[in-house]
Amino acid sequence: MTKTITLLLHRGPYESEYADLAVNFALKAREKGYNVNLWLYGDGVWTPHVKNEKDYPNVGEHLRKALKDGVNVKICSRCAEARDVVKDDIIEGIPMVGLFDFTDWLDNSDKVLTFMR
Amino acid sequence: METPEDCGDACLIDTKKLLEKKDSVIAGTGSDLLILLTEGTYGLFDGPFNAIQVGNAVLATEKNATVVLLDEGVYFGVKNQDPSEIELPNNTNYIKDFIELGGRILALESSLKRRGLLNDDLIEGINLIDHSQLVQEIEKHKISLTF
Repeated sequence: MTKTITLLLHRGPYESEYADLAVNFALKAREKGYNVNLWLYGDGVWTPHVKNEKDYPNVGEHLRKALKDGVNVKICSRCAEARDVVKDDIIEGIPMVGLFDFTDWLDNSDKVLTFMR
Repeated sequence: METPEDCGDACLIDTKKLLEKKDSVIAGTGSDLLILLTEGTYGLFDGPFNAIQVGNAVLATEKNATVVLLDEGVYFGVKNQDPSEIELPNNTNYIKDFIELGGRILALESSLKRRGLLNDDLIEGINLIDHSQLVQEIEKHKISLTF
């Protein structure tokens, strides 16, 4: 049976390494056959705001690949609203949802990791 | 998904509604969540606020939640908090609601002492633990989140 890993990202891109770590971890875990959930919380909601193409590796590019590879990504709607992060500003295909979606993920996870600090 | 509480798009956990149906909420039959809160409160990070929101959401789904305050996180449990002068909302009600809904809040005694704080400085209902008890809490919870 496929195991599920849920990742909580609570830091934004460029302020620390955690956004890169979380997204790259998600990619590798998916590659190894895990079902992977990535919950963007607090400043983590800025991660899909890195939307446009760049001529250097960036977390947005990795996040697009993660989505394409089947990583489940969701954004805390309250955190997004607090930062005026709106759907038009972010990478497509990431729903903005309430906390109960996260607690549902917690209930159905074999492992949970937090990325912050 | 079906949610036990209609939180709307903004999804601020409505603890007032939860308290109205407290008896059914405190069933606590599901898996437990441990939240390790290491960040101080007000104006610096929003980790503490987000942590207690997750805690209240877990309680709303009739499961158990425990918050451990350690490192700078012990400031989150200090009573008589008044951030009005820096124009930020007070977190105290969320903490009290969490306790009233059946959530446990523990504070690491050594972190408290390092900051010159005493048990009496904390909101009623917060219990002190030592390092050994912290290990026990981590051992007995399947899931832990760090803020």
